[in-house]
Amino acid sequence: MATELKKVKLTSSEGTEFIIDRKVAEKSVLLKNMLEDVGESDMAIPLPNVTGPILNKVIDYCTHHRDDPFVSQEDDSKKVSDDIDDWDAEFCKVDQGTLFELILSANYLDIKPLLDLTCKTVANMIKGKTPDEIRKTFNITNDFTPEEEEHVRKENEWCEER
Amino acid sequence: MEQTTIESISNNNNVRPFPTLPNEITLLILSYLNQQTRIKILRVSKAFRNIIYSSILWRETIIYNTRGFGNEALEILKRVHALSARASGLNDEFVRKLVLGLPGQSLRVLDLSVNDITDNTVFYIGNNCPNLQKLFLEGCDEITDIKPLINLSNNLNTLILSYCSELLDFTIADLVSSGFGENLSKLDLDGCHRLTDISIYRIARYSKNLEYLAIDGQGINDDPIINVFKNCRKLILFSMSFCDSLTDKCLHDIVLNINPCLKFLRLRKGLGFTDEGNHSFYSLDLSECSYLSDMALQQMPHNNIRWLNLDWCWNVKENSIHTILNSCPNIQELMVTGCNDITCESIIGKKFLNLKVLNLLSCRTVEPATLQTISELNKDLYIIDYYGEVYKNGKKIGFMQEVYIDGEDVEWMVGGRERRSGLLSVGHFLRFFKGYSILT
Repeated sequence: MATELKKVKLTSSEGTEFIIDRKVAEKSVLLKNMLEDVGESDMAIPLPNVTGPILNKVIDYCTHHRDDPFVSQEDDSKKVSDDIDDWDAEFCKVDQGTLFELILSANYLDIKPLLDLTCKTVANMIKGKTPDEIRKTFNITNDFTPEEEEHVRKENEWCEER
Repeated sequence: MEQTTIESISNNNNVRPFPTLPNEITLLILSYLNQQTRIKILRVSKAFRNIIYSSILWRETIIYNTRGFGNEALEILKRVHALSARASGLNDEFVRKLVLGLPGQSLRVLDLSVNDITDNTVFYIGNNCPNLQKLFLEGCDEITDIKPLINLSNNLNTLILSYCSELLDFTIADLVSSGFGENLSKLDLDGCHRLTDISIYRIARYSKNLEYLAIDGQGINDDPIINVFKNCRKLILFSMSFCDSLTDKCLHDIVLNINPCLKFLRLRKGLGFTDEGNHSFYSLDLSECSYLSDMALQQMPHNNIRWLNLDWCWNVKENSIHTILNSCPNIQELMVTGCNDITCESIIGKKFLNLKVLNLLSCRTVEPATLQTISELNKDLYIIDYYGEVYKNGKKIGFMQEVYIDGEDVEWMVGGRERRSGLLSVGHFLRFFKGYSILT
């Protein structure tokens, strides 16, 4: 039987069971390694760090990208965040809490393209904003005293374009 | 007081910038942001300031000025790979602190162009940056001696010294014949008017791997140039301004010895040329070759040529324009500034499929009505008139410095900053290099 027809069982943190194609599961390097180690098994793989709704989203992503070739990215390659296609952009239209949970799950499950996509999305939320707008967007408190803020402004004058 | 401020800011290492994300993920997010955006985030909170200062985010950095540059900056830059401090007002002392303060091994690309630096800077770089691959010192007109760069011969492949006008000929000759020459693939000595035949002979003999060579031709004769074309078989771009001393023999021999990869040829102000050969360039600049004959121009069937500059070639007649535009099917840009025998009447009614720019600046015999007619028929063509105004689709749309070609976004970087794409106005001299990036 071809690998892609085989099914894999996953359980989310609340105990919800998901049955997916092995090929979809193998987009996660963590699961791929586990499946290789365990071999043939009907046992469900528990994912205590991932909630049901997030796992559902992750499976959506892996199913859509099931046939993408595996690319190993070089660290030196130029990083751009404006190369997101329409499906991926639509996929990332979620509230901030969900987006951050997706990042953590992608990191835990070791799904590099999903981690890149979600990190790029956060980077795009930062671009073009003032420090104050960034604080508001991400609910961050300004913990600088006015003197400290002045110091920070001065210490990096050398790398600021005028 | 100063010290207390820094401590009170950085003693906050336990707090994460995004409380729910581990720092290595925050670093991944920040790695998608450029320097200007990172500087803005510095001020968001102490935790952001501290993580932004991770040296891993500063592998490509631009120094804009010297204000506030101290030990902290050196700490941030300890892993810098490409550093540009073009026209940032720095001096020798700053460079000394910089290269001695950095563990120089990481530096691969350095651009100190257009600064008041002297031979001392060349000395510091030569002795402290052993892994440097690309060095840009354009327009540093106090530099006379580049021999200390011999120490970098294992890795340096790109050396841009254009408009270092006081650079001495023998230091270049010594440098290239030292074993340094072999690794060099790009060398720019345009505007270095002290160059003589001696250094050009040495370049031809020792720098066989050159792909890009730009020189200032004042006082340079045929023979060394012919040697360059005979020996440097990998040349893609050759540019020589002020070819006053070159003759038709040189032009003939260049054509005879040309290698198939040469795509960009500039032989500006070749007053001795009357003839022109047949070959296949993308970009050909023969501007100010004022004796180039009309006959020679008409026998120029350039199948591949896309960009042709015949500015101030006074022998260009109406016939040449007609012939060039008809026999070069792929030509995209033609420049004939100051050619006073052109009326453009012979091309009225013709449709040019690929032509994008026709530059007729200072051509005083071209009638506005003629331009109007040509422009109405060729709706996508940009025509520059006597005064530098641009016609498109039968209308004047602005001056040549402010008009850009619709939808064009070219990689034009010839300097040392991080690779950028940008827009070039229809009349910009850098269009010669369109499609050639010195950073690759």
